[in-house]
Amino acid sequence: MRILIDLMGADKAPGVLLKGAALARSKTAFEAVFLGDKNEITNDIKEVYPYDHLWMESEEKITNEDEPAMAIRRKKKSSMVLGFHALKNDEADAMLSAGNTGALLAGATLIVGRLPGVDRAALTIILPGVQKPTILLDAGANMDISPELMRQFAIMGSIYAQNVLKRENPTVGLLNVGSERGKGNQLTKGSEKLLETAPIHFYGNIEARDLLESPCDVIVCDGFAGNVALKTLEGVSSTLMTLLKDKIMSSTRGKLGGLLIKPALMEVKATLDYREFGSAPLLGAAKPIFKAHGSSDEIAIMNGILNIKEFYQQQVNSKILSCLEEKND
Amino acid sequence: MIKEKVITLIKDRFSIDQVTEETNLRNDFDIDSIAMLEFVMEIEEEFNVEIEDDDLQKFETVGDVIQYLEK
Repeated sequence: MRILIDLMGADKAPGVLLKGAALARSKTAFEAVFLGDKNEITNDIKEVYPYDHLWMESEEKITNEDEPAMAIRRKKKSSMVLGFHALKNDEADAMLSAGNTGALLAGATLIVGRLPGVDRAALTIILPGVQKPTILLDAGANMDISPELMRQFAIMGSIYAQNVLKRENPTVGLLNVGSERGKGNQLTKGSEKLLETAPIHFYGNIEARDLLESPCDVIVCDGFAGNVALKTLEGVSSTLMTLLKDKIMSSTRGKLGGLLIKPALMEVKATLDYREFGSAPLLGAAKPIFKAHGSSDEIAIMNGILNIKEFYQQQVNSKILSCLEEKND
Repeated sequence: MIKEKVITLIKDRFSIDQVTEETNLRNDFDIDSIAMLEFVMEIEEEFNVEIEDDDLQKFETVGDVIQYLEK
């Protein structure tokens, strides 16, 4: 399997991506194709990534400030655009980038293409849960969507839950401001009607406070709401751990108590650790395209690459395609 | 010929019945920037042209696209 790894996107790029790729390669076989500007790499690559690999040299960089769709059109020699063309031309099997999410969506749509019946790909993350993980889509790729697009996300999310989380008859909830039917804005009201008749098990509305204890297997929303929800969870869990640590360390009694509860706290931290899944697929893209968090460390990148391999081996895209054809018949 | 082709292409792509030269590309279609670029790429392929980004920014109406292609 050949995986394109965009070295130009993460906050600590390119080092963190090379180190993460090396960790992943030490665990599983794949051929890495690094996309990037060699001038930005100060170390000898072989010291960081001591495995065979290919290289595609970029001359431009798509930044988070670039307007996504135009950046894809204008920056033809950027690492991301080179990767999209390699995917389109079957020169590689999958791609990982920690760069501009909007540009990733635009490239997936305009260059690589989508699965038939899918208008836009959705960033699909697996949320850690108290009882079980839950799939959330869209986590930030599509800021403005229609109820029809929400329906497509719900169907894709349901298929993903069946095949990746191995949930039989997965339930799908709609992220909303209240659990009662008819709540919310025009988008959620319109979506609710379509989801009720969609070929899925529609649970109803889900509030953001239930994200980590969701009774559903899949939660659908537009990319704006999904991204706000996701970043809120990340911020709250990080702040909570910092506050706890500060309070524990501020007194002798706290330190003693801290020692006793340390194993439990470490478990909580591990449960809420976004690095466990490392990357999220743009579900609906014709080829596996995965987004890593901009602030990823090498562990997150490693897990992200392992996720990609699993996705590829499980032939998730083929399964989505055949299920979509079946459900749309 | 070009006019008919462009109008047919827009009707098919955006599932719109009424399209005239005065139809505004930005305000009359409920589409995002990616959909707009998809349309532009389809035009480029259909007419075998490469539209410069600066020209692209000037497109306001369907008539603007037709005039550009006729040149």
